[in-house]
Amino acid sequence: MLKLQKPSQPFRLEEGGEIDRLAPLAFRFDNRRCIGYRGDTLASALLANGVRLVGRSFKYHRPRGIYTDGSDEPNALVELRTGDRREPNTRATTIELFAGLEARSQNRWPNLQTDIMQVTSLFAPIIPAGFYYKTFMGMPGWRFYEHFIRRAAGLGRPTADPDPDRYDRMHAFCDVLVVGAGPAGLAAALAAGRAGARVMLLEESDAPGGRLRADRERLDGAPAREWVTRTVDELDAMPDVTVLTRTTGFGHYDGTVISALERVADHKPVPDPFEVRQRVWHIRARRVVLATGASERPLVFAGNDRPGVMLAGAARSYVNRFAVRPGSRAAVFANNDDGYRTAIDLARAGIEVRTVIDCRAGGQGAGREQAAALGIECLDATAVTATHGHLGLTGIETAQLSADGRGIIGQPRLHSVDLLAVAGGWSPNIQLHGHIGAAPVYDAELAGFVAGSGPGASRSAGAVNGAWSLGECLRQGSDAGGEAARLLGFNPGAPELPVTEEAPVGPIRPMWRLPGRGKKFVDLQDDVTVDDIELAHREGYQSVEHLKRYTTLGMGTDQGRTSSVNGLAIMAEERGIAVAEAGITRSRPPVVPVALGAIAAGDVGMHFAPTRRTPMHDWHEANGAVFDHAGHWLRPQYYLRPGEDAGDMNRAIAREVIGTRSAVGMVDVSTLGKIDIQGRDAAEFLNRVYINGWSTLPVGRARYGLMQREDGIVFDDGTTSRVGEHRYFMTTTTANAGMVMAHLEEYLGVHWRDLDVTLASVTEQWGTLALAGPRSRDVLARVVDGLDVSDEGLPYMGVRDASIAGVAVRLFRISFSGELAYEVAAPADHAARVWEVLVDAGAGHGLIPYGTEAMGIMRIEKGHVAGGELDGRTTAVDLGLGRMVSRRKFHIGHAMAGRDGLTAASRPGFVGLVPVDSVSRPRAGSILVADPQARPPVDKLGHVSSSAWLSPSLPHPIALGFVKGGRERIGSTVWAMFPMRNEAIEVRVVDPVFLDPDGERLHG
Amino acid sequence: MAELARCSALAGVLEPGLHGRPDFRGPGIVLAERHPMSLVEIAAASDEVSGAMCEEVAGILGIRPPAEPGTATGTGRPRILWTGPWRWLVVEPESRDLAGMLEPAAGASRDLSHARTVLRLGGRDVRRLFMKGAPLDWHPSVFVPGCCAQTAMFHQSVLVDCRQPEVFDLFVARGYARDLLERVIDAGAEYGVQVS
Repeated sequence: MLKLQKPSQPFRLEEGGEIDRLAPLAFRFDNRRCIGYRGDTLASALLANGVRLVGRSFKYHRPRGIYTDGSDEPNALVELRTGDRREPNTRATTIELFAGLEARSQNRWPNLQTDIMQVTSLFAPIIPAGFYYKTFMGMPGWRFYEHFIRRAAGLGRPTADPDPDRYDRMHAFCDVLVVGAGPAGLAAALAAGRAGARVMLLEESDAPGGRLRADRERLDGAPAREWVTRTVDELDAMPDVTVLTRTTGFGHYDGTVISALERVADHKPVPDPFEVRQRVWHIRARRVVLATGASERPLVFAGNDRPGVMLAGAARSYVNRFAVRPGSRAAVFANNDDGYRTAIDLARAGIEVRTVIDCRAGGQGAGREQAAALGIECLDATAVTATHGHLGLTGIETAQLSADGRGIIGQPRLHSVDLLAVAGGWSPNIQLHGHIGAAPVYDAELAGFVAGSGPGASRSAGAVNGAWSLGECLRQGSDAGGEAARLLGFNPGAPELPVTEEAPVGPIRPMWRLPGRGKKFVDLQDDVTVDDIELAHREGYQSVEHLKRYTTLGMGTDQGRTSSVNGLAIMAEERGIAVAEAGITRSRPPVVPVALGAIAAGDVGMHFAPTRRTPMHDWHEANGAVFDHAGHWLRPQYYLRPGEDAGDMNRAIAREVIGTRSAVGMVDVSTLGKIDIQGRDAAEFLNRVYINGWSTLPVGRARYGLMQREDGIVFDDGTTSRVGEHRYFMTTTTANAGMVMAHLEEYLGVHWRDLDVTLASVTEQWGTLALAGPRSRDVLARVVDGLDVSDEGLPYMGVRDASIAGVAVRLFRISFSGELAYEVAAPADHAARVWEVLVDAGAGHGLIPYGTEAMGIMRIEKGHVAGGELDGRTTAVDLGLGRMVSRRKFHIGHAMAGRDGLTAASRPGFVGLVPVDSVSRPRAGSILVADPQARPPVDKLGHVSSSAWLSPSLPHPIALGFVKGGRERIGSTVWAMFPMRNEAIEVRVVDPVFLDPDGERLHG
Repeated sequence: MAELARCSALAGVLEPGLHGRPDFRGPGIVLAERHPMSLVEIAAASDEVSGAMCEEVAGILGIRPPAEPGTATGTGRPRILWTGPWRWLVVEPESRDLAGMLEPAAGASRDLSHARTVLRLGGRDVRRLFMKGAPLDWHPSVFVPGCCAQTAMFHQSVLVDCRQPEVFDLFVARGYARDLLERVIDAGAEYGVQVS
């Protein structure tokens, strides 16, 4: 029997770090079984297990390893989890290890060690920046090549299954928001919190501390972690301080709004029951302190992308925080004093540190002496010129730098190392400043861009602001937090800062690229090299924004946090200008990748938009209704009977039209907008908002009204009834209900303050139904109490109060279908009951419920205008309703309706259209032309606005539309063209009223 | 029509019991519908009429409409909420002809009893729930009892009335009631929602 050997962690240190050695966690990487500890990231656990090769690069498929220890990681992107939770391009450096974690390397085939696509590297010289553009632009067959090219270049594969997890959104308010909980952020939060302000503190990783977790700093004579613990405890004890860990501020917007992503359950195998996985916070703060720290920069030298080359700060983090040795034999390459600090930390962890290679010829701080005292060789004015090793670093070459740093002197020397820690200086994380337009300012002393002053109530503190020493970070943080509190009226008191122990450091020597032969990667994620930047320069893409888009520099998931400054500085050198003059690309949200699921939160599926249901909804559902969306409303489109399915749609619609026209039909019209208008000036108000007159309308009567916009175009229509001396009941179309209400409110509240009128939307107060057809009166008569529903008792356009089954209702004798018809309005809580009473009463009369399809067909048969005609382009005259315009009064749009363009005789007029072959179905949206064979440009005569593909009342399809000449064309034919579907249908122009032109049916 | 039972928009939808995560401390959210309610909007078109209307309403109901925007007066029978300049909503559980009582007052009155669904929400996590739905400052020192606000909650227009530090009434248009209920139960699942 095969004995299973327990996987060991050969690179784990015996002691130290923030990991919990009593909590081992099993995980798999590319099916290799590994063990890590709670407190590890996937990256630190992989290093502990001796895994150095974790991925293949985007373009050249070069072997890549772990490069950083945070969200700026360009290399170690993996596919995390399996099945419907599979997530590509997650950074191994930010994934907290959990039991059973499964991750796979990306962009390799068949496996990570033997990646066939690595041949791409051989062609590297002929696929420079812009290669695909240049080669395939305008070349036939792109759609064919695209598939292969997209496959070859690439990142991971997302799952195609629905996401099983929940996402969430949270709005928060606070006095002072601090982004970043490193030393500066903690000091800021503490100062503001002690002053009594409501504080929120955001920390990207699992716990506050920032670099204090990764470096061996001391505060108040003790390890800095003790100060962090004390500070966090104090903040936690403050009732109005909220510390959010695993939360990254990703966007900064006007009005001091910060958006942040909280990874609530990403550190668990699956979220707990009912727990959300991620949450997006929108935080409205009165003051913001940005303490987002800095990202370390690589040095750009030949072969700088091999697994085993790592940023120095990350190497310190792995030994100090994770108790992992990222290599066995190390060298450090630096242009600043971080090199010595790194060498010392690595040596303390038992790594054999062979040499520190410093670009500088002198001027180093105290660190150099300490490193030398440990027996570490310290080389000055030296650079790494090449690296060796295929799947992992085995050695480096170093050489003496010439005085200007552009060339080398003498023969390179070989060093056998498997870890090269690189310290190229730090780039402040100023992305959040950039979002609100704060201009970055180049600081030559730091060789980096810090945030300049920007608009709004935000300021920065700590490393992001160019503070390089711990003491300065703490002081700036405390000052910023205290100032924010003071500006809001709190009293922060005197700051209490811990005592630091820091050695003096020497200045940095910016070295943007180093001599040596071979690929020098600037942006490791996008495989952008020094050659690509030089090419961009030669081809004229010299602005940093052009450089970015031409080479894709800084466009990956890391948003160029390790690469942008190096890239633009190299461009500045090419152009012979100062780095400050070249500038830096404008950053935009999000700073880190944010899943669309987190942004959508709960607004998915049926909750993508709110759903609005009528009081009769449950009845419709129980009686076979197929629903359609009308704005937020769900409306029955048609009703299927038992045994029918969607294929029976036409039959159902025909049944509803025929049933209504021959007997009686009932439709739910609760969705129409309803506005209660009261006041002594109500009639005058209506005169002004409708084109027709209202002064003569008696109580108990309804009238059709047409509204214009200010520009003379028709806005909306509907009936308005006078229900009292100074009280009217207006209806609007379903689609425009909200807009009409807002329009009327604006006029009353802003322009016509003198009118004694008040309004209220009563749409939801009433459930309304329309009862239509020759038998509608018979049905109504059976149930109505207290009213004679005959022509005398309730004449056409009459409005009366009555009761049905004990419910006080309002009856309207109005018709959209052209039939003898009534609308019944009942208080919403009773509307379903009234509906059911009518269904029962109508059973013996052949009553049939109908939906929006039948309703639409019947109104087209009658030539009534609706949404297709009131499309924001038509005038009352266009619609054939010009006679409604009252000349004797002012109304909205009165003046503008008289413009030449709106009164021109050439404007298309409203007509009916019938296919000449009596069979073809002219589609709504078709363009009307005279000659179907004409070559473009073709004169447009008009368009089809509404179409009824089936008109059970007539033996052919019918349509409504607008055509030049309007009614003068009646009898002639034109062509309805729908080029997208290659349709050309000859149609005869007819009167828009297809049925019962004299309106006899209205009276039963 | 008092003898005729009103049918709530949530009839058959409101499922009593615990929805979401059980917690040994009990549910984080408690939810119930208040139904049937009487709601009458009173409004005026000018300062003078508004003043007279408030006088008359105070005389009829014994409670004066609040002068301060975004506040409410009354302990519930009735409660009067400010909803706009010269505009208030008078609310109470249905027990008398509130609309009829307010009819004679100056200004305009409108019965909106059927137009809104009223949810009563409470519990230790209710303010966190509101944070998910609406971009208002729900801090207990800011949105205190007596405050009311019209806002967008889960993309729907609602009127929120703070009755006690952890008890709120939510007024939503009847047609949206079911949707809002679903959103509230969904968003509250991580705290546990006890529906009664």
